[in-house]
Amino acid sequence: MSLLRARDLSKRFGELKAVDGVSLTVESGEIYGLLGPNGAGKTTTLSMICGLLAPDSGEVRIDGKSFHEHPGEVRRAMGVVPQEIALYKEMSGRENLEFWGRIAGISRRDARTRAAELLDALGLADRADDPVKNYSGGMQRRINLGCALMHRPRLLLLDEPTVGIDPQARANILDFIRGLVADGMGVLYTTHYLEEAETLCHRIGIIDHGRLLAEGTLEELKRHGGETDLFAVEGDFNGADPAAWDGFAEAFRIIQQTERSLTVAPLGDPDPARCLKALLNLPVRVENVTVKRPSLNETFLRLTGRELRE
Amino acid sequence: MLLTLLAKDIRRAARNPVRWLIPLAIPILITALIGIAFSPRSGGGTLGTIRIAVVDEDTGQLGQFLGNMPPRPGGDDMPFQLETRLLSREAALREVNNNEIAAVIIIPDGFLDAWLRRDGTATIEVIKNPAQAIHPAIVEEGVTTLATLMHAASQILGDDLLAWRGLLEGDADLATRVLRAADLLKQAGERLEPLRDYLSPPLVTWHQREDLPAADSGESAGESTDPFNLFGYLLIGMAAMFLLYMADNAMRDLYRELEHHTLARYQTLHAGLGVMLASKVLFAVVMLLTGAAILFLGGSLAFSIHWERPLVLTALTLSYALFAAGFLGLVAALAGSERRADRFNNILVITLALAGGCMFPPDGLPAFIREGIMPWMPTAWYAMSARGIQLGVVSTEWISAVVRLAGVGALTAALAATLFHRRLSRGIRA
Repeated sequence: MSLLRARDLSKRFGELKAVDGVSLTVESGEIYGLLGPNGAGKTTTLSMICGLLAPDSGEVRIDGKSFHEHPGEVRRAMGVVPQEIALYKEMSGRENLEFWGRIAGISRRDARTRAAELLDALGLADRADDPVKNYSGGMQRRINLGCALMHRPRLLLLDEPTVGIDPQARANILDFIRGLVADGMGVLYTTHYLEEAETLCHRIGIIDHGRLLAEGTLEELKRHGGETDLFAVEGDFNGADPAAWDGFAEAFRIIQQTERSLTVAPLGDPDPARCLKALLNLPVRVENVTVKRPSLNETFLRLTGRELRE
Repeated sequence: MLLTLLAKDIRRAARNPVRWLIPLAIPILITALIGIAFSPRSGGGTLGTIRIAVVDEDTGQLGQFLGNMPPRPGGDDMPFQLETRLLSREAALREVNNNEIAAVIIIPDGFLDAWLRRDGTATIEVIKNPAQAIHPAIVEEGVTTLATLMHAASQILGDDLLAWRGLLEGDADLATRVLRAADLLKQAGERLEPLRDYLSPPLVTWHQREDLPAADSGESAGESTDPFNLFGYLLIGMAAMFLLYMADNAMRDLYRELEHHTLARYQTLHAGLGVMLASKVLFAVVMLLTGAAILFLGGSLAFSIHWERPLVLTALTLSYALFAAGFLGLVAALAGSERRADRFNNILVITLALAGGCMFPPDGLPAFIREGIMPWMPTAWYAMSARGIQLGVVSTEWISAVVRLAGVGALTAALAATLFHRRLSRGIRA
């Protein structure tokens, strides 16, 4: 039985269909990355899973228990780390941890003990009694994460927990999450950083315009985009219309085009030598052609037609 | 859970006290300013002795006649003692420089002639002591009033003034003068007769309340030696107004919880918002009671106010706190955002305070407010009942006020909770 099973979740805001039939599962000891650009529907999906938003359709089950039928039990099983810093900044890190632990239902004594444990684990013991407003962005993010762990949830929902912090703080948080998963926790992790999804997540779901376009392990997703190599052509493509070139549309599919580069996938005959020859003979000034294996970025490009940072 | 949430809010308030201290400091300051300016208690029971010098440079006979009148100290019925002395200009200015007198009134040469003849402008010169604030201002007001009266007399008596001048400066014998003066007085009386309706009753008057109990009798008088204390009267009204601001601040904290995403985090841990909303009402009540205690105890220490029947005052304040929390919570819920609530509530609080007689004595309000609106104002229920207790009026009116305030508070708090719940479940954001 999956730790989290979300089935056919949909949510509409007026005319906008923010989430359209998203289904996913998260197992214990697994990090599931929900990868998509801003506005793809990641946060809305996560909000429906954690009960902040009621889905228009679909259902959420934690350990086989329906959110609708057992809201209290299901809430106790999960910890949610919102994208924003959801802390009382006048209070210290320790006070925030203890307060959120009490709200999650643990006793005062347990809250005190658990807060001390987490402050140690998050490397904040020496600043524990400072007001959160005096913390750096990375420290606030760590306390934000710690508050969701006070009641020892089995499922952790993280909504872009590393936005706006420096690379070192990000690495610390990612290491901490790996440690949680090693202890058997299941994690649903939304992000728009490709490298985070590639290096952290066991399975990845690619979401765009509210629809889950593909999911699987990193290798599965790369294969999902096609087995064939890609050709990155550097040259002057300013104002060029490759579709109008003689025979080009029959031989290649354009993955991405900019003024200085053109990324294409061969159609039909994938023979690299023939493809190279055809590309060098394009009716523009070509400076370089590179053959490369498809990465998650290319898979994302193939699936959505745009890059994550767009 | 409720106590955990309450403790958290109190801790936050303690860490950021400025927004709570302002509504506490302002009423005490306003009370002090108004009280010091108008209370007969300031300055050891009166406004003290106002010392002024009169410099009479009018060389006419009339001026000399008036100048020879003896200096007049203030009467016992006046709220202050007035001590006048006739000095030369140099001596008077020297005393001003030495801060020995509040002001100098100079009657210039030919003043009375000019006034009696109604020829040109008769001018009185006033030199105020810049080192003093209140006494010179009182002298200036007094001289302005005198000038107004002299102008009115000049307009009403007209040519009689010239006749008076001739009478006083002429060479006639005493008997003739007396007879002439009697004629002039009779004429003046006839001229003033039509003004009777305007002058009696006078526009401004005062009376001693008959219903005030003696200091040593009655249940309500307690140990008070003076049942009326202007500071206490003012402070109750100010407290009624500024406690509303505190309630507004407390209830709008829900929007701050939204803005800081802590409410969303709370919702991921708890199904119902009821406890959170109840905790905000409780927080508002606790803050208001604390605020009221600071105001009233502070008032007691700073202005020697003896609070009559403190338990009744506490019950009234508790029910008023519940009303304020519920009502301002409802307004915040209706506003839909903190910014709108901020704008709207300021106007509303001032209106409630004005219409409830908190800012001005109710007798000074227009009749349509006093009779048509004020009876419906919860601010008036509180302020009037509390002032009544303070004035020693024996009545059970306060019980009715407590019930009404608590009832309105509970009703509006329930409505606010319902509205907030509906808005939050629809996904409003601050």
